[in-house]
Amino acid sequence: MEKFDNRRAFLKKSVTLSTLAAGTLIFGGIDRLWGQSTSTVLPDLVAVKDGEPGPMFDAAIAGFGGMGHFVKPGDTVVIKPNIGWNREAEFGANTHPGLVKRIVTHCLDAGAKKVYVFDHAVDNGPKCYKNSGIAFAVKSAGGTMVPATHEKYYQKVDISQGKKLKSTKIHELILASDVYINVPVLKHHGSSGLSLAMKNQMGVVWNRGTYHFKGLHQCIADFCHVRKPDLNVMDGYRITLRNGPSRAGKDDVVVRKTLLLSTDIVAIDAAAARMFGKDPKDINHILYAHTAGIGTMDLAKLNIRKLSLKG
Amino acid sequence: MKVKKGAVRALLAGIMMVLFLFFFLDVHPPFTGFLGQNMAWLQFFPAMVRAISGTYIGLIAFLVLVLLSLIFGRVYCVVLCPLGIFQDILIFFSRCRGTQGRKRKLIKGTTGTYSFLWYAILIFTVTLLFSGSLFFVNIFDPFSIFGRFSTQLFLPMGATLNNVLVNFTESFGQYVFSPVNLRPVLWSAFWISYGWFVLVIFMSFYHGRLYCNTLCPVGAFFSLLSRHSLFKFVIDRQKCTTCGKCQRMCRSHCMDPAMGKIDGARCVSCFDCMDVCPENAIGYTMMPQEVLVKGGLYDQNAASANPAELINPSLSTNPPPPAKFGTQGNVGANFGNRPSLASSVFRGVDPIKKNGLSGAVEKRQFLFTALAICGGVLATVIPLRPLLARMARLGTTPHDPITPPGSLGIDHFSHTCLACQACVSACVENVLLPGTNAYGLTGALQPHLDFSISRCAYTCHACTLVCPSGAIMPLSLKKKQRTRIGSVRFEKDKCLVYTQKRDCGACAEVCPTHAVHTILKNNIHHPRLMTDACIGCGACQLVCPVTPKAIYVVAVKIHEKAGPPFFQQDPPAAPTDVMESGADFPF
Repeated sequence: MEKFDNRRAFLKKSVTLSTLAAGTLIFGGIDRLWGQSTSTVLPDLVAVKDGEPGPMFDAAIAGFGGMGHFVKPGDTVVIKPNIGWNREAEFGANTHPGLVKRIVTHCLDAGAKKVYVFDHAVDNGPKCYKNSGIAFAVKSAGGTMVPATHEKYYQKVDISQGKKLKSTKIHELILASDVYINVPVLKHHGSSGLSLAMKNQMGVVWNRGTYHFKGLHQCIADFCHVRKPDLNVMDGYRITLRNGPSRAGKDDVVVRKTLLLSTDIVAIDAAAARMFGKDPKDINHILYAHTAGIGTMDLAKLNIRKLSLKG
Repeated sequence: MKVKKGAVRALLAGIMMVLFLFFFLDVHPPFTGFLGQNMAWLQFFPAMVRAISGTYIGLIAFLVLVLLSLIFGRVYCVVLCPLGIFQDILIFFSRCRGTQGRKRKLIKGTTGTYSFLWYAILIFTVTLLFSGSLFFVNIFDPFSIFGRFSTQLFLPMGATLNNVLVNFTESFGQYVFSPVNLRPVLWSAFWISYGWFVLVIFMSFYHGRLYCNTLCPVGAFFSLLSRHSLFKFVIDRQKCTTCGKCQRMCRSHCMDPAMGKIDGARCVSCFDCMDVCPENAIGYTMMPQEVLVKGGLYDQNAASANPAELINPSLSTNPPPPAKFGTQGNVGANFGNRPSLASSVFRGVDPIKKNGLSGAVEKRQFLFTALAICGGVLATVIPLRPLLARMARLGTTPHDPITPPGSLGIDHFSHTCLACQACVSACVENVLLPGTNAYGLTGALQPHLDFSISRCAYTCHACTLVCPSGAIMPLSLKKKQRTRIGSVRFEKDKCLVYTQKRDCGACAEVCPTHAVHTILKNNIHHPRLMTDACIGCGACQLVCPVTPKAIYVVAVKIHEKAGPPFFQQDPPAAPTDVMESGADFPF
């Protein structure tokens, strides 16, 4: 038995190593690995303000040398904005369509083969896609809206590192795509305090009810073990102050014209919580994810680049 | 060129069929709504139920339909009735296959009818309808039956086909179409529809319009009028060669060329006999003058001569060609033979005796029978009404079913819903589902909302726009959003937030009016109720993660106006520490 195990382990290891070796050759070559470390230090977090969503994203992604840093030619990209609610863009319940559109454009310009956009909406899926304005924006930019209201798209994944969420069913595109971009909107939330990047990832799973049953914050944090987004873009153009996540009226939404961008999902949530005037520690899932080492909420230790588009 | 009248009829019926399918399959929601609002003008029971519930439109529409059949016969059954047209399509296929039509065996006289059953169903239906129970209407109304075929059989078939198409295109990595979630099936309701589907197909394929002339209460009602309709089909016995072609073709089995008679009660005015007659011997004319002048319904000569023919063995010969009949020289007077009402209601009567009756006696007898039946119905209705009301909830769940917005309440809904399930088909959220006996004896198969499956979406009022019978009144979206169909109950001791002291808030997240919302205490979001704002949409019940549910909706007996959404009444204080516009980032 032991022999068999050894052989299997050997096979596994050799396959992994050879794939890795081949991978470095195929994807950009070894020089790129060197190149990164020698180039100017990349920011951990970019915060932009005082602009329209499109130009703010342009400025933010420039901090990473453009979308080409994340998207290689021929890649498939999946973008997960918040399209959970059948509400128009001005109520701040969904991600700004202009931002999603610009991200799609950047991905295609970087040579992406396909750019998919979906969200497992809480309200009626097709209606949310349409009324949020995101379906139109994505299609006009050349992206593809993918349905997410049918269980057939969801595949079971095990989360061995999860404390409470041990397994769940997630959308096939999150597993299949080369690049995963998470585009939440910054808003108040009646059950988790704030709805940010980690909370936004609840829209890629099939059965959200288990989150609530097993412990909302812990499950939100646990899910980050499945696949961390390659890039997080926080839409802070409109901020819902109260009656979130979906029922904000005109008085409950303020225009702040901000945008955050980070590869660290915990850092971006911590920054967003600060913007909302909250200590990241008070939002339990940020704290749990920080403790689990998914990212850091310690903003002081991060290389943050702040930009203003005014003047 | 001679225009085939049957083809014109089939064209009209085809157009109607397309409309019905548009309606029941909810192809284009605004158009479905338009059709639904105007369906009562064309449909018998929707008009009747509207009339009974006190709408003038229903009464007028009902009288229009009565007038239509008094003038033209049972054209309703052949052009306006969706189930009738559905059967005609099957009869068409049956003729193509040779089961019906040209090769059918010729028989002596017409086939036997099941008048007793037919009129018994009519009487039961009407008696129960006036007693406040739609039980028989729900089961036998052809319009509703076709609606259930569409919603429970055709629609899932279409959805499955769509999903196959989706799988096919996605196997090439293309996300072009969206898959449809199939409506959860209530098997008891499904099997009733499916059983009826098989029954109707079998009957129409092998026996033409047997269903319409045996089980259908609408057919039975219109048969009472069509016997005496102004225009009717008559055989000109001078021209008729008794070739029997019309009898073979007749979908209602009401032709008796040998006797020169057409059973006006069963005839659905399909015009096929006129088209098929090589001698042009069949006319569709106003009541011939001779009959009026003579003052008799039956020509005595013919009547006395015919019985002899009836027992003539040569008549039962198989095609081709049958013996020639009607050569006794009874000129002219036979032109307008009318089968009389009372005699064909009780068709078991010996034909000789029947034909021996004079017209006046028959008329009196009919009047007497009709009065007796009406009296009987009335006499039954009066004690039956309170009895049924008391037994209405018999065999149902302890909780009242939740009726769709616009239905005013359980009583109005269950007393006017025909169970055609147009609303079920219109419900994109799959929350409005067919039922079997949710309303007890008041009605069968009427739909209700099931919050364990889905919830009534705040931004949707599709079902209120399509109801043909007025069971669901049209509601604007604004009014719908303030209509309380149920009211929320919250059991703290089951709620996770209170029992486990941690965030859940699923109910507050989805509540469209914030009738349930959260307040922050010890950094935990505690659900709190504000029942005045609750409209009973069921979203909280759907998402509540515990079993049994800590939050759920119970029906309100009579729908009421809810208060304004809670977030409009008393918004929580906005957080003050949010980054100001243009200020520096707080990190």
